[in-house]
Amino acid sequence: MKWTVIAAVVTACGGGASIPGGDVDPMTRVVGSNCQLINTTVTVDVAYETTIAVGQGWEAQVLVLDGGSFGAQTSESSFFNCGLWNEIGSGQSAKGCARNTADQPATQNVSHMFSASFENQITPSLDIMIFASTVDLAGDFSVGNGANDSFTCF
Amino acid sequence: MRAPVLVLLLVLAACGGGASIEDGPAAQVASAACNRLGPDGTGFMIELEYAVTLDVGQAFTADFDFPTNSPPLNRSDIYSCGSWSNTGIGGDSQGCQRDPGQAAASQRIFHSLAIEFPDPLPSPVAVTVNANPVVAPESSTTIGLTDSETVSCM
Repeated sequence: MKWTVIAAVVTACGGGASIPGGDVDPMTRVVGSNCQLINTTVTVDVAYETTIAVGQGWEAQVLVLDGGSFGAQTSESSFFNCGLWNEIGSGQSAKGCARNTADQPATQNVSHMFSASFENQITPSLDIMIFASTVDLAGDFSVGNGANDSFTCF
Repeated sequence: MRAPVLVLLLVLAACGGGASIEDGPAAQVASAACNRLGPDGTGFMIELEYAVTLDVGQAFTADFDFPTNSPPLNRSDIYSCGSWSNTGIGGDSQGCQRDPGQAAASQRIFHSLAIEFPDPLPSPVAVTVNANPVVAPESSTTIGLTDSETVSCM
């Protein structure tokens, strides 16, 4: 009886913490990136290692800091390679990947292939910023550790 | 009878029942580094580390003063909260919060800010970061010791 009370107190004061959405710590990190400048188009490929629970997703964005140097942007597209997860959205509305079921693995190497075209020829030393976050799909809020990064495309 | 009571008191003290006012809410900027990006300096990447102490139910957030009145075109905040939880609904992380059951009163918090403005900011850009303990998650009411640092972005 005495020890039952003590065990109950220990559990109540911190032994029972849990992570919403499952037993994994959601996170994403950049594991590789490259880019190409071809005439009026920049292409950016970014690879991430990502861990999420069921009901969570991963979203990524690429920003081209062109400063208006190459005229107006004429097109932009994103394609996500989600491995064994599902893509969020499709075509022009694609924005990342989702783990929908428990039989999908918690960790995947996912990638974001981005391209943008401008009116004029792109010249080297183009700064790129990338954002990625792990999100709760039902509430549309970020969870765990995301990743910001930047690099210069030559 | 006395021995179990003594053990119970020891357990309560060890799991957080003994917090004092001196341990109260406080935040300090431990380090800050900023990179200015883009041909005309419209993009910024800022990496920060904070030393933060919170009571259960309180939260931490940081805000920035950039030398412009223009709202950003894009912004991504990523907080790495250690054993505390992320705060954020509707998109980006807004800070960290100490939830019930999270025993550690102090954490080193890492924060990455990626931001893009519509207009160039002349170099060098001085950005002020304000580190704020707040009374509750998503509150703007600061509590305890706050800190403010200015970082130069080249």
